[in-house]
Amino acid sequence: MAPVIRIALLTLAAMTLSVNIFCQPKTAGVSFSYAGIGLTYEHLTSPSTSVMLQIRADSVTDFGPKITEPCYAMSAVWNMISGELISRNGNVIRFMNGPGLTMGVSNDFMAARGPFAGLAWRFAGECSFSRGIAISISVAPMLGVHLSRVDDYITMGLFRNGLLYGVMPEVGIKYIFGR
Amino acid sequence: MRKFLCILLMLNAFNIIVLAQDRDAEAYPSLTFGAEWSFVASVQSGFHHNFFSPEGYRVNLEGNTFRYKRDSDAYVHIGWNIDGSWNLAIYAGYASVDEVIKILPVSLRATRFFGNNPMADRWFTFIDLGSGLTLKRPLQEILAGKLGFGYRISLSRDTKLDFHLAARMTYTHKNIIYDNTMIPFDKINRNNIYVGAVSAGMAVVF
Repeated sequence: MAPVIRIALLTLAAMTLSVNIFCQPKTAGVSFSYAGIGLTYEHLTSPSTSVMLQIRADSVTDFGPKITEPCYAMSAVWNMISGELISRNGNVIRFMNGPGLTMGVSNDFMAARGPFAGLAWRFAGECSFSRGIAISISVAPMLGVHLSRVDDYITMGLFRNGLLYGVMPEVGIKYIFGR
Repeated sequence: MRKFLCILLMLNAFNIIVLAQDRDAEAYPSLTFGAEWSFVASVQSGFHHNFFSPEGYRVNLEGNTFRYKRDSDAYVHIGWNIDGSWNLAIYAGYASVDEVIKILPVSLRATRFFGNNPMADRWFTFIDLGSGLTLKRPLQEILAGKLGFGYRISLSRDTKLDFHLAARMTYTHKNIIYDNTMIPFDKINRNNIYVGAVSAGMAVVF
């Protein structure tokens, strides 16, 4: 048999034996946490890094303090994937952490409403199912400043919610597209 | 050529053997656990309060109102898959009722799944009955019940995503505030609230 055909058939045989590890370029979904509900978008930029963007509406659940004015937070996180496990079904579990930037408008713990901004470090574990849905759990403690108006002065203080909400886990349910 | 084709065939046979060993004894786990959270709209509230006001006279407030209050709840559960179609689980969590009353319900839920394949997506219905505590001074017992249906998305043998819609009825009590004072417990004769709500939520079940 011609060597080219032999090589082609061997390659075909090798392909039937290999496990199909699918790439996960983009996910979009919803996140739920004690702080609020948000929309997330994550993009796998390389096999070991990903970028995550999130917009969150604060205090729309009844677990936090009752707030009537709209509060929101936006974050951009650069994740470094530190571990990856692949199950026999084709489900992928990834562990990642990385720095991020968060800003928004919020009522801080025992303070008036005002803008805030700061740096966060996000630790996350995500399981991507071969079905096309990913579930993730993450914590993102944030160190930032919060501006609020007290009488005629604008005061700047530590953004306490970044640390209070930052240690509470956030569950994300996402749809994987662009495989 | 024949030798080569024989090797190829044997490699494919190896594939089949590996897959047969991978198949589990049952298509569903017998122990299930998970977390559930939902958004609740309280639409109906019936109340009957009978108490002594700070000035000493008896007050009787009774009525039934229909209006919208935004609530939410979250539970964790642990249960057993009795067979491929029935599940019995104990739910415990935190819920808010009528926006101001917070309760900790503990309940038993029976879920019936339609269809014969636990690995496929399927519809389900459930009934949930339980009791619990309302977070007020002093703590009092409540009764809570739910009736609903939903759709289960099967992500793998061990992980499922459920979306559900349910009607919730809660019997609870509240802190009575009359004339800007909170009525003490020994001055209250009757303090009943019946709240009917609709909840829509999701659950992650392992």
